[in-house]
Amino acid sequence: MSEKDYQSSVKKLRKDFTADLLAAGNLDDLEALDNKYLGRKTGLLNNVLKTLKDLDVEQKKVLGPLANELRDYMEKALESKREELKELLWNEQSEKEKIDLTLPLVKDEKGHYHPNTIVQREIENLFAQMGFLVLDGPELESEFYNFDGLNVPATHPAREDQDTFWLDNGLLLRSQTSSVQVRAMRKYGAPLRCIVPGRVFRNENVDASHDHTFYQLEGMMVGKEVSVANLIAMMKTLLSVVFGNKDIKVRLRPGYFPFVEPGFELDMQCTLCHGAGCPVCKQSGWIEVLPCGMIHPNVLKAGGLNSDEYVGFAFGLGLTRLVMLKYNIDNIRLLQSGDSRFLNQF
Amino acid sequence: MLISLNILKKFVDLPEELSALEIANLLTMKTMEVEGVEKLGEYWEKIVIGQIISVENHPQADRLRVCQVDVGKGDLLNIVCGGINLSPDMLVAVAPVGAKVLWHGTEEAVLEKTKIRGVESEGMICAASEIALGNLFPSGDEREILDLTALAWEKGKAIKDYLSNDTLIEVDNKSINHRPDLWGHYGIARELSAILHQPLKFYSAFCDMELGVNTKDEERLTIDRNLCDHYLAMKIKNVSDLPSPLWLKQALSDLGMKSISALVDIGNYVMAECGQPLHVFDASAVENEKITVRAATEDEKFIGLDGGEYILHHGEIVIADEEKVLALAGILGGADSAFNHKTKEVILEAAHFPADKIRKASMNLSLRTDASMRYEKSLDPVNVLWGARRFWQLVKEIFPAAEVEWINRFSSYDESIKEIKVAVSEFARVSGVDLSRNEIENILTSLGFVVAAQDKKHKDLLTVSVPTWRATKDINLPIDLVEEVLRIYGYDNIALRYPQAQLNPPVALPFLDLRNKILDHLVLHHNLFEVYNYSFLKLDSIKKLGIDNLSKYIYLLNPVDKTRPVLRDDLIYNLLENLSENEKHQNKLGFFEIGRVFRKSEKDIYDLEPGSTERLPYQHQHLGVVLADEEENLLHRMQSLSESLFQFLGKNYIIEECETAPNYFHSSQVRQIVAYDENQEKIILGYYGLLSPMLRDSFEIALPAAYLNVDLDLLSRLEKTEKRYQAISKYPAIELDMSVLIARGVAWADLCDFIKEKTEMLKKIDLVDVYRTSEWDNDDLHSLTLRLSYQSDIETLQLDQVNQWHEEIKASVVKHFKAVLR
Ligand SMILES: [Zn+2]
Repeated sequence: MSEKDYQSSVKKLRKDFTADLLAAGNLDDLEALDNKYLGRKTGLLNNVLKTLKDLDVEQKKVLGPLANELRDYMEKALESKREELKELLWNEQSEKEKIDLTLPLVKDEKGHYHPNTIVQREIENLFAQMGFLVLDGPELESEFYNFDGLNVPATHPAREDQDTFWLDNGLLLRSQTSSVQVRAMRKYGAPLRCIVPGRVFRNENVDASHDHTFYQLEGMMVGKEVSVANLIAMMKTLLSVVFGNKDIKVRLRPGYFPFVEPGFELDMQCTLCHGAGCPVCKQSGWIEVLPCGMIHPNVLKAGGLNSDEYVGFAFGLGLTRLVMLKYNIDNIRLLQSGDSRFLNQF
Repeated sequence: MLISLNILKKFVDLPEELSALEIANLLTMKTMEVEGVEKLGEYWEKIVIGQIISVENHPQADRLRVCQVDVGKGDLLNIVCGGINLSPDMLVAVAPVGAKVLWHGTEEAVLEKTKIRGVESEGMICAASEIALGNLFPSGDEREILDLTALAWEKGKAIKDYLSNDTLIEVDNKSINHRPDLWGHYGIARELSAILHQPLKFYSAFCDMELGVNTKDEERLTIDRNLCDHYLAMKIKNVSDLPSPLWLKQALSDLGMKSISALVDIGNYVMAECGQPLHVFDASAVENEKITVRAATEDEKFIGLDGGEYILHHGEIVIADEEKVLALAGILGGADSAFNHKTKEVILEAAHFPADKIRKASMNLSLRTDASMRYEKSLDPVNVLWGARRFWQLVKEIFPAAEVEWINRFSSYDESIKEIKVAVSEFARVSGVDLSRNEIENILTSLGFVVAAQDKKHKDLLTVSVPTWRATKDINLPIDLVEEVLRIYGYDNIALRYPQAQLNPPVALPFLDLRNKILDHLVLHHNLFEVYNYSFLKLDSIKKLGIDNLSKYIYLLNPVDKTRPVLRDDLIYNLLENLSENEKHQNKLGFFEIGRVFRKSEKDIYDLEPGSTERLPYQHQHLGVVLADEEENLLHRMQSLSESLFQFLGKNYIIEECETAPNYFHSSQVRQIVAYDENQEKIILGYYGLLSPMLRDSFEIALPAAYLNVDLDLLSRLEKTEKRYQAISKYPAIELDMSVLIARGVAWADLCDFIKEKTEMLKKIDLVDVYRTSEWDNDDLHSLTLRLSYQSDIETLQLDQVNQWHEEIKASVVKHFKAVLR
């Protein structure tokens, strides 16, 4: 083979390869092409290279690089064509695998917490982080803890009110979680800070916003330096967390409850109208959320504490009401209905 | 209670720029809850007085008349009217075009010029109710128009020139239950005077102070001092059944009270003003003009001026003469001695009765009146004098010829002044705000407290005298004075501050921890719904469970729902109701509840009273889980739920055959969960099992259902097992399966125990499959596929060796349990 023949066969190989490459439509074609030209034993390029050995040394020096150049060219061209085809393939595939993301799940099999539990645990966590004990107390209570111990003596009108459930054993169903105040003070002494979430009972006429069974969350803090200013701070924090860390404005106004002195009603600024007045807040701009106050000295005494030494605040959050307010639940009876269509919304 | 702004203004000057709403808001923020503010006179704003000139029949309508009405300055209006009492010269209230009226007393409308059945009408001649004066001018027939002729008002003038335009503030009664002084206008005026720094006028300025209340006279009173500690009776002659002057009528009507007769009205008005209930007897009905205050005798009868007949048997306090009961003290006057149109002489009663006795009587008789409502708040006994003096002042004004014939007074109340000592620093300690001695003194003084001069030795101490109107109930302790000062100072002026607190070591709260874990595990892992159910049970449901002994339950004395009179002793009842309710729209159900159940027979840890060894009845927190599903091995699902829960909670437990299971379970498909306490005492924590088909039937539950019940109080008292790390074997495990046809009576646990004994290299046995076919039913067999996992901690096991063990185990199972290999 002459030098010229060699050069022209390299040229022809390049031309053929380029034409074949252009025609290759998929990765399989490309692999075949790779084999055809660059195959170790029968590849066309190898065949051409084999003819090189017939030439003399000087010619080899000149012509050798030609074939190597062609190999480089072929390898690069194949690689870039390969990338191109892969991308094409992936695009096709992902187009094929496209799914409707708005399609609903076939069946909702998740479990659900009761909405009261959700809010209650949120508040429990909040207070636990501030070092409050989360306590529990009996629902079936004695007159002492529900009334006498809370500065509601036997002659007090609240004792005769029809809204306490009395039992055939002379005991009662607690009408407020405040019944745990004296128990907590006697058990843990002072200083003390605790909350008591729980079920309470009132013999009330049932309607969309009143039920005979509902939940309260009692809280108290007793120490040597506990003030109204502290109470305001804690209540503002509580409401701000429950209502999604918004800055909730609160106000205290006089409210009378025998177990606190001074006693307050705590209002929060209406979150719907921001105080401008709307139907929810009856145009007042404020929503009554909880009664609270400074623990009456007689209650501290009943709790076994020295009322000259200790002061404290207490509050009685209407947990059920707060849950209804938070989730916009318009009928209190749903909460105890056990209806899965209600519960699966939480 | 309704408060008149006009009456308040008599006692305290209210700044002009302050609106009624602002006053209401101040009261809400510092004294009591205001429910609303109502401006009266809205409907008489444009009403004028007119004189009817002529009345003619309407040409088209029998019932209508056409009137010419002179509304002053010679203006004549043509008005079509349906009134039945129209006559020429009559003075009437005319609503001209543009005025707002109330059709039929309720429906608001603005008058327009209109044609009524073809005749033009330029306004309306009003009935009292059409301009919101129905209370002031009551009429028997709604077709009667308001006849003002008797009042001789000048035609052309506006009605509002003759009537007061009052604004009413409605107070939430509950917010002043503890404040006897606020049950009259004067007390509220006192609050406003303190709030607004405006002087309060002395009530004596409105009273006849010459009235000789201490006059010694013939003894006419016989008073039981336990039933009454202040009684004033005063005979007034030369009075009559005169109607009240318009101002008085209107004042009462504005406050929602009926006008009866001047003398009775004065009594009611004085009560509204100063809070002291008064009663007027017809003197001729009081035998010998002698009055006794005593307890009612058993079954004593009394006819009230409301016409009701009352039989007294709780020793109610009565006012009586020598023959009969004249009045139910503090509640209701009697029919026999009531003021009537023939009355010429009266006896006024101003008295003070004990609050608890009046309250009890009023409750026993279901009779609440304006008087009883006030007495039960613990009124100030001194107020008796003010009531009588103010009454006499008004009587003199309306009956110039009236004379007091005699006065008798009895008093035994404690006249000493209540004194409270409080440290100045206490105000800052409770509020968190520094208040000066001066500020404190000013506020207390403005409310009628008297602060003694500073004591040189105890500079920090205030000695405060409590005014009589605050001394009967709510002011007893230093803290009560702190409240007085803070509320007037303004709670709004107290800036929030976070407390400084002592850090305490944590207290273990095992139930809370348990509850949180159970909630998360059952909701997140087992996809159950948490429900809350009532604590009350239907007797019906109990009977459905086949329980006849209804005496073991705790009963409510006053159930809200008579069909649910007992406390639940198990969570199952309501959970079953949940199932049957939800089955209608779902066919795979899983609910759980955590709540207290109550048992009469057992005692809890809670004491009855401090220091008492007596305990409250059992009221443990329970967990109840129900599953309902078509799936065949529901019991297995409940078992695996129970086991995974107990493992998650880290509590040791044993599942075993039941000794005595509750009878709502399927008797052969129930297990009990037990544990041993630190004294190795066996404790039954709960049960799980399939519910009996009979029970499902009576609760109308179609799906098979399983129930798990755990006593969480018992569980929370058990020690937690601590997890320990086990070294992970470096050598691979070899797993081999075996399938055996075996009697269904062979317990899985027994089978496992038997196999495990064979070699210690056996680390785990899993059940891979359970298979049954009807062919085996006769012999009661089933096929179990077990996966045995062999592993060593010290070397790699050889397959040959393991195969040999496995074959030996197979052979011994076959032999021991009479099983067949498959
Ligand atoms: Zn609003």
